[in-house]
Amino acid sequence: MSGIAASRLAEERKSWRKDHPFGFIAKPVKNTDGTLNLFNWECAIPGRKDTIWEGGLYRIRMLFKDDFPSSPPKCKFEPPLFHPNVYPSGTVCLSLLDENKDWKPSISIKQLLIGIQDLLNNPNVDDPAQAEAYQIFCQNRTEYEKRVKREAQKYAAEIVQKQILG
Amino acid sequence: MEQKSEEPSSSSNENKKEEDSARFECNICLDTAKDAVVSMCGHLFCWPCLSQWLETRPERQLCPVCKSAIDSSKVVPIYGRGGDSTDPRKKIPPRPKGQRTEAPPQSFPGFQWGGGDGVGGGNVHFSFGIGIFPLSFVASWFNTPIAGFGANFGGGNENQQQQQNQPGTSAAPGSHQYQEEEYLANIFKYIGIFMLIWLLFV
Repeated sequence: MSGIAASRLAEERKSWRKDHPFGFIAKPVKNTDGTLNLFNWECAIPGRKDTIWEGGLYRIRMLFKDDFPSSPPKCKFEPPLFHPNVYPSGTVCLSLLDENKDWKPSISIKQLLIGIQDLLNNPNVDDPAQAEAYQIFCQNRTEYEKRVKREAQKYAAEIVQKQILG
Repeated sequence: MEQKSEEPSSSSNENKKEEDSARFECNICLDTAKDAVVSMCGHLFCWPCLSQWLETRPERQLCPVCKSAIDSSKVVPIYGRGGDSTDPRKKIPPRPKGQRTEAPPQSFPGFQWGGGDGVGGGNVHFSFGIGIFPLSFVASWFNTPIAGFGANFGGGNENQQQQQNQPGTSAAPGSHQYQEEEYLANIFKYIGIFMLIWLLFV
């Protein structure tokens, strides 16, 4: 039954267009025939102000399954991000995105993106997903911050915004 | 094209109206709740949305908003003015019935005794079994003695040869062993007849 998923995603889009947090981007991709694919969204999360992530805009793809919102979307940073809770593939490891943990169907795309933004500056050391960022985060905090700031520069908001919005 | 028009919308009056209607949106599809039901924890859903959620997690029946325990028999349907007032839980979803074809009548062969419609491979089987049972029983009892008689009364060379070929199976006529065998055979015969009579008349 993808009826609920499709109508829910249509509602998500409607509500996003009506209002969304500043600096965020979320839009369904276009099929080759010009129609929207509501099950595949291109999003971007800005680094929060006054954090080492500030200035960057991090692209993330949200893939929805037919049983959404019973199951959470898969969220994947493209390209993969240097962060302790992001898998080398780019997939985000977050309890909010885990069907068996904190996911619930009433969580909106908006809330998810804000939740992931929050994760950026508050990594969860109990649930590491990539060795590199996790080890550097634990062993050498100054080096970690340097690396993150370099990411923020690499994915500077102005550049990424142009890439996405064309 | 469409992406460019992403701007927060319009006048405060309209916003307020939308906020009001948002209070009656389903927490799953985010649209105005159709066939609305409310959980004991107070959260509003379309019944189709909620029932699908409950179906996908039969082992964890939790409210999609607050994760309190939830039970489809304990949600309250909401009837607005003028809407139809049937219990939404009764019409949606029409649960698919199990596909089942009725087996043909011989499915219980053992309990159908003769006659009837005569569709009875099973009938034949069972009565055959009953018919054969005492016969085979008697036959097995009679087996030895009948063979013995055949051998004894048949006489001639053939018989002699048979006896030579199978030493120990039957003794020579007139010997002590032969008498014993005859005696035993008679006992078996009478037991067999008795059994047959007993089966027939009791």
